[in-house]
Amino acid sequence: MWRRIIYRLALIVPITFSILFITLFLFYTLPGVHVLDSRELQVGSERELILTLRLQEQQNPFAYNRGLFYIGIYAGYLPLRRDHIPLMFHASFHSLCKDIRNPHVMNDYAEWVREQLGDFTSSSGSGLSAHQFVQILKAQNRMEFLAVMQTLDPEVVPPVWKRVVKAPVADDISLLNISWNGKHNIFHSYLNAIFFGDPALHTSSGELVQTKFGRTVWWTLAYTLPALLGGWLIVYVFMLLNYDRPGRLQRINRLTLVVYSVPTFVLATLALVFLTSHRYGVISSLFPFPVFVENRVQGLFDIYRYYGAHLILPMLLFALSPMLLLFRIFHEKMEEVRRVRPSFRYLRHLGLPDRTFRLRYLSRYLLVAGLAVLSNIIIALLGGSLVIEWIFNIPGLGRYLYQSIINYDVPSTVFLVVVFTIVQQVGHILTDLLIDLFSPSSSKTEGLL
Amino acid sequence: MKRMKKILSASRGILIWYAGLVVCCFGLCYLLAGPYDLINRCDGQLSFFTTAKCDSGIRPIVVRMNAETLDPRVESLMPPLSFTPDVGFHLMGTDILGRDVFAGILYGGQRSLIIGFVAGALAMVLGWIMGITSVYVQWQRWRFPYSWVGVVVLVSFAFASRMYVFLFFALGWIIFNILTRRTTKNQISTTSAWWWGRWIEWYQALPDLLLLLVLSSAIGQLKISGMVIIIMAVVWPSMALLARRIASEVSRQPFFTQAVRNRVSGYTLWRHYLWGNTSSAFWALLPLVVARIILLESTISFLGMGLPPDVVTIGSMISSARYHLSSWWLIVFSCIFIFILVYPLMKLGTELNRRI
Repeated sequence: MWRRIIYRLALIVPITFSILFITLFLFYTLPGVHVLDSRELQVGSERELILTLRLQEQQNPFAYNRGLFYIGIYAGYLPLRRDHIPLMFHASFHSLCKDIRNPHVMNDYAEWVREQLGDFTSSSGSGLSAHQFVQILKAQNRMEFLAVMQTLDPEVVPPVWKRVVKAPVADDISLLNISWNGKHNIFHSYLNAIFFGDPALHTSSGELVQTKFGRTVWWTLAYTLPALLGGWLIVYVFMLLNYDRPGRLQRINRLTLVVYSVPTFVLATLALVFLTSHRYGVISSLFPFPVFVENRVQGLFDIYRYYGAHLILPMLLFALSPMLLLFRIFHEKMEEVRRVRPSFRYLRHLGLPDRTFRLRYLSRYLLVAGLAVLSNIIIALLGGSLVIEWIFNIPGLGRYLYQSIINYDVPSTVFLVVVFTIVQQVGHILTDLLIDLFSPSSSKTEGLL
Repeated sequence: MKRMKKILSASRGILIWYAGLVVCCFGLCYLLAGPYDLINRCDGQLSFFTTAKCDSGIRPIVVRMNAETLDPRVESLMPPLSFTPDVGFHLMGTDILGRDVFAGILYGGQRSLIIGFVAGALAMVLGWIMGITSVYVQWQRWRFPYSWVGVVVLVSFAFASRMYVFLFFALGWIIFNILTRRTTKNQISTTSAWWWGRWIEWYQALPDLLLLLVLSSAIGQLKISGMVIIIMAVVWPSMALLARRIASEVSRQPFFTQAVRNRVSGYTLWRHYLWGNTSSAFWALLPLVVARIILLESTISFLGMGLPPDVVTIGSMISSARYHLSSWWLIVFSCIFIFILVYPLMKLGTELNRRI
């Protein structure tokens, strides 16, 4: 068994690395269209645009690297330093490169963009306004590029722009290019940053990713931990008490189907409107309206102290789905025991006391069935329910992940995905270990049930 | 198949009821609500479904609006059973922009059904093909020439990138292939099946939420087809794993072993033995998958990651209810409709699974 566990633990490494790569690939390479609507960047003050550009810098902290992975394969018209361009403008840059078809010049242009972005983020200034910089980044072909250039004073125009406009189509462009990027690639930098903290990863708001994770994880655990443990215990005890009442269990099973047909977000929104809004009589004042202030708390104890009452409703809603799932699993196992295992009747005919049967045999059988979903429960414990956190404005991990993805906060997303992947894999191994440990078939009682 | 027909006839009530719902969403909705006149008479000529303003026209039965119509005459957040002259009855009220909730539910339901059925069918078919094939490859006599395909790719790549050094690698590969060529034919190998299984499991290990959110962000402005692709990309691995499990159970049966010994053709093994013995599970699961996808689509729309914001869906309507707590009609009718849409499918799927 230990050999198998070591083998599976070793497998966590390639699985985590591959998922890290896929995440980076999705962010950097997949978007072939305008990811964020850069056309919308027409309005806004100079200051706002500079802030947006700084955000781009934070979203892509390893852009100074040469490529996404140790080895890179990319279209022939693209330059080697294409990742220097902020994520937001990748699509327009690719269109521009396709039109110019001169990777040597575009390589210089990409380096200039990087330097210029550095000037904006360090507030050193370089004579070009943020508006002008954004306009040129949005150019998708030579004509648009030229049009932006003509709006500027010729003395201010950077020399590299003139080279881009006048660049001839290179004859030596191949269909595909291959490059060896060595250790200076984005994937390697993220590996170092996540596992060795060098360099430290920051969220788009400038906070350390680990700090943000440490803060949000308490909020998620505050409602998931009691909900899952309590829910699991309630269903487990309920099944042990009612195992000899198949009619009742069948009726509840039918009811679970009804609840399953309504998604969690509908139930949660209904609860928010009709149980917390104070607008539909007494029933709508049953629970306090959820308002959570993140800065007020320091840890789990503080969360319960200030927001214990506010968390009851999210807890109940969050517990509902795992409880239904556990009930269905336990019910199926119970039916299986009743239908397939003749020893079930045999033990009862032998005169085994009801209490002994429940606590000694049936409990163990159900426990194993419950453990089969342990890895899912561990993931749910950490990830929480995005929908619940979204509706009740809980500043937990699910909401953090959602906002990271929406805002293209690559460091936060990558960090969270890696953490979730490792937790999920460890959860799977732990589940199998516990099943081995508690399974009736692996002990002296083999064959009794 | 006879057994399946028998089981389906037992669930006739649910099927008829659901067919009625589909007809209502796809056919009747155009008679009940729409921004046009059903029949119009302009300059002595009859025209159908036209928006031209003429004196004598027959309007849609309930309201002259579709899900996205913004009419300045219609007030925002009107309660149910309100009436706007020249527009019609707002059976289920209006939202903050003055869009009719009843029309939104009909047209939004239509979109949910299209996405649910198309994505469900595609995900099931893809998952089933992958799952069955991952078991079948173990007995496949004809081996896919992976090595030779690799050589072709390498040679193409060498010419595409103008890095002709890769031709030497290709040459080395060809020599290696010839030298290590197997002399025995028709032997059974578990290597391919193992790789297929691990690949599907690896794909399933990708976080669903990440895939959904990043793919929808990456594709940008989503249409129904984009939504179908994204949902299919998330759902198919679980179907493939299920099909693989059922098919591997079939492959352990004595009749299957005997068929392999009798040198039954690969097509017959795949089509008649593996598909034939797993098809009932396929049909039983289909309604459950469609129901799951309808729920998934509404959740994605609720989070604002689905179809564009100006396209009304059930999820987007419920999402707007969060900001207008006094307008109960925004959530109640959508909630009832989603239940009506999903529950029969759940019931049908459970019933079919139980009987099979």
